[in-house]
Amino acid sequence: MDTTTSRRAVYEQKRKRRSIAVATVSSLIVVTAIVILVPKMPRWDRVRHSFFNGERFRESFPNLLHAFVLDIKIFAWSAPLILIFAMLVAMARNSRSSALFPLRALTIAYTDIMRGVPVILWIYLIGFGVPGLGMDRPWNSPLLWGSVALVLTYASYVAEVFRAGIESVHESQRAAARSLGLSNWQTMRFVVIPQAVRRVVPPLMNDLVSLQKDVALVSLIGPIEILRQAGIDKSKFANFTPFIGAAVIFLCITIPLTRTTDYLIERERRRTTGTKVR
Amino acid sequence: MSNIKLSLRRLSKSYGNHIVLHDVSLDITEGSVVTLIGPSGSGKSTLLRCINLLEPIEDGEIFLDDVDISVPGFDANPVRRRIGMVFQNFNLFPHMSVMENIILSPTRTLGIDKSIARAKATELLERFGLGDKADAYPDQLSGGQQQRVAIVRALAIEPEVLLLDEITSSLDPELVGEVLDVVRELKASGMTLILATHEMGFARDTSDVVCVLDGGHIIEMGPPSQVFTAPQSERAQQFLQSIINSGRL
Repeated sequence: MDTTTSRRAVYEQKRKRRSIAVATVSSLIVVTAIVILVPKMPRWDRVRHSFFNGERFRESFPNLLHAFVLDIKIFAWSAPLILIFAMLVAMARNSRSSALFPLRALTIAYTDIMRGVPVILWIYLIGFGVPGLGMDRPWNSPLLWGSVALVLTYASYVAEVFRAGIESVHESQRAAARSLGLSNWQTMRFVVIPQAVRRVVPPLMNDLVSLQKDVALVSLIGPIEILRQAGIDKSKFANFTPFIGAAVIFLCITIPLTRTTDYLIERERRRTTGTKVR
Repeated sequence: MSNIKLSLRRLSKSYGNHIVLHDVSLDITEGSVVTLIGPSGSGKSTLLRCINLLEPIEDGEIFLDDVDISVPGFDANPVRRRIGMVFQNFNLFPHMSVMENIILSPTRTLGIDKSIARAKATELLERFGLGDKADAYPDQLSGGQQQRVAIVRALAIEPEVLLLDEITSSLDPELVGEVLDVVRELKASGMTLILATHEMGFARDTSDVVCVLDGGHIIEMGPPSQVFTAPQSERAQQFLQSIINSGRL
């Protein structure tokens, strides 16, 4: 060992070894307690049979995975539409031209109304209501209108995120751009929006994670996506394990997404603030 | 008679009841250096922002080459390409490299070809000792370097007049010199300059005309030799005395 190690380093090392030891012991105690105590819970065998049935899990899992493709499809076509529409709404709301006043007022009403009512209500209203008007195929598809409801509600949340980002770009950046002869629109396009979007990536990711989950709400108006498939399998087997299967599939997507978000937030925090205080 | 580049006639502006500029008149000869000095809040920065049409004036006129650019509804964008501006806090675009900052306006507003704009930007960067910084981002540069980049960015659109708004005020003392050197070089190249500054020594040595502002009025105006040694108004005398007392001249 290095003989010139500083007093501080020796102390830090000792402390580090000690905290690793403490963390290991406490984790072992907790895990042992769970392994020993949980099976001793009343009706544990019933719980295991009903929720964690390996056989039912294996039977239902391929169905669930197959149905989950629809969830991914809905997410895949909704997310880009949400981002585009939300950006348009945010820009309209931030516009300074008086000619656009009606548009500004409209976007305020839109975000207030969409965000003030539960998502599920919009899905029922638009997803059941519009096809009920008696339009011809393919315009009577609940899948289509369910997606429209998701896009409209989520765009209102995301628009507010974008708006916060646009407003966080300091006025002096606009002044600099305008002083270089850039038009209002060019200032937005090249100076304000690129900075705004970079700043709101973490909250944006949060919204995309909840969108990934809320896609399942479309199941309530008909399409057989994963939640509905799980419900079908549950009824067939009279067993709740398919729901656990569905949960596992959702977690496989959402946990990596949330961890990435945390990483992005942490990176942003490191860039903008000082070192951590112990 | 020398050519009047920019003429301000009885400019007035207020924020609510607070008068920021009152009856400001000033003629700026082509190729001259006009310095605005005065206590904080005296209206120096507002005057520069009004000339650049970043803020509307309430009364008066601004003539650029005998054209009134302060007419309400006048298209400000072409005017701003003829009057460049550099700010106290640099205001570089942090998401763009130095090169991208500089060529943004030439390529987007003047429609100059990217390769030509780049070549010109490289030339300007080298002229101001920033040749190796083209690919750096603003956050990677010192304050003095950032401010020099901001000057290069303003010069890239080949303005006829350059407005410098306290461009050394947020720099560390040892970085002020390198930025002032750039201003001296611009003066030598014949650029028309209007600058607001607290660098009194620099104002005395470099200006053709010095204006002392106080409470939105020009209270003293003339060549530096006169303004700094024999100011006429009492208020200007007080202001200069306070500068001399604080050891800044």
